[in-house]
Amino acid sequence: MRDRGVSTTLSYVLTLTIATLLVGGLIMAGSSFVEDRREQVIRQELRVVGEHLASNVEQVDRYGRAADTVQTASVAQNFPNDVTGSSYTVELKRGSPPQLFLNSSRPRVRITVNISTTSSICSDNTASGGPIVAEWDTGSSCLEIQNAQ
Amino acid sequence: MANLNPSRARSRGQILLIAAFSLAVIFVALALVVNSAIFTENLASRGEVGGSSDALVYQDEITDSVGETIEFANLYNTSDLATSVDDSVSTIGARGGVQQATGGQLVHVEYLGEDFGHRIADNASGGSAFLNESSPTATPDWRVAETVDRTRNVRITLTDTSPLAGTAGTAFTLEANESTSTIWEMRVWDDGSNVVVDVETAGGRTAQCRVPDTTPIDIDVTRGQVNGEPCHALTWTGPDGDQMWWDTGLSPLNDYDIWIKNGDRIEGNYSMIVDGTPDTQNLSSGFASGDDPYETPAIYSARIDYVYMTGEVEYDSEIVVAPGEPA
Repeated sequence: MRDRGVSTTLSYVLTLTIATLLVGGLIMAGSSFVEDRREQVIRQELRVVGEHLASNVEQVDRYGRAADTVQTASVAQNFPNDVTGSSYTVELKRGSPPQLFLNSSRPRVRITVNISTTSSICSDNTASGGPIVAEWDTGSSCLEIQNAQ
Repeated sequence: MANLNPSRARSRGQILLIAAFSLAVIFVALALVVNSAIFTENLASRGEVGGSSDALVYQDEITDSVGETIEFANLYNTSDLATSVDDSVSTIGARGGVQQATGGQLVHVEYLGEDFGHRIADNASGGSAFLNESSPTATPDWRVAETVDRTRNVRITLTDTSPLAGTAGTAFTLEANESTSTIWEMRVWDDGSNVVVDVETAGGRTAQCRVPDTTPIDIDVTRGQVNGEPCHALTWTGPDGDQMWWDTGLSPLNDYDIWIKNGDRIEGNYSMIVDGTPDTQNLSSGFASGDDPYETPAIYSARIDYVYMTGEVEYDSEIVVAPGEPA
């Protein structure tokens, strides 16, 4: 009878500890699930943005080759400013084939999209998420991207 | 029993409360992720930027319309070709602009200028041999035009295959002659059952195409077609990139002369537009319906300013319209 006070306290502490462990485990599992899904969605969204932008660059390439003299050719599109809460940048790099690299900041995700063009890319240039315009440089007869004003 | 811990009654379930708040935050984050996923699906299902391919489709339509205007003016106008084409282009631009505006596109078409040339033709009713102006004696070998820079719309219509030679050696020949060693030539002869179009480029490559010898036979030399179908001998591109098109192998920096050889071994009509000088010793001036070939001033090509704009697309180009020019 004189140990009853100890058993109540011990039982209480054990209950709290087990509850804390269970709840902590549940929260950890939940947040890692959300993180994992977020990264998947960011990857998918960057790929979709990249494919749209690549299609715009290829369209401007067709414009540049469609007439004897082209004064202006551009296609602009309003892309989302961020992907699932993470800001991102788009790099257009020369090469064979030219490529678009889309990088999100947090979490670090990098997507590559190949572009098929006949004309060359002016130089490696970068644009951030948001309205992006694919343009034809009349002087150098090449392609570039930049943020629309 | 006495209540040993009266103060704890008000602070029970704190861990569960914290857990509930944390889970609520997780659910809100999950909702944000799901929302982004739905938006991504929506973005993926969208097509190209509105109007981006229409810019080139409409440019082709304008090119075709202006081309037909040029051809009409060359055939039927006797004076001020440029003004008539300019007026027609203004009409095309005005009507097309209104139609495009209803779809939310801004289109502007403007005539900028032209390059003059000459139309050389023989329109004898029922066809005739391809001889020069018969003064005093028509000859079967004669120069049609000299110092030619470009040629388009070279069309020959055979109305009778009986004068055609049986072999290539004595066949009717149309030549683009840059020098004695640099000649593009097309021969037309009959092998007994088919009319043969035989082409030899300045580089020495040869090719032939055949059609049944049933008249009329239309040969569009610069478009590369016989009776409306592509002719291998006039369009073929070899594995080394060498092509068979009109004037292949001639230097783009040099002029050439156009000759007809064995013009008595063919019967029909022909016409062409040259950016060069017609040989007026062999041609009469002005429209003629007899069997003598003639030359008239003609527009060789026209330059058009074409602007196509929507909220997302901007395209401004200068088109050169020269219908029937070789590829």
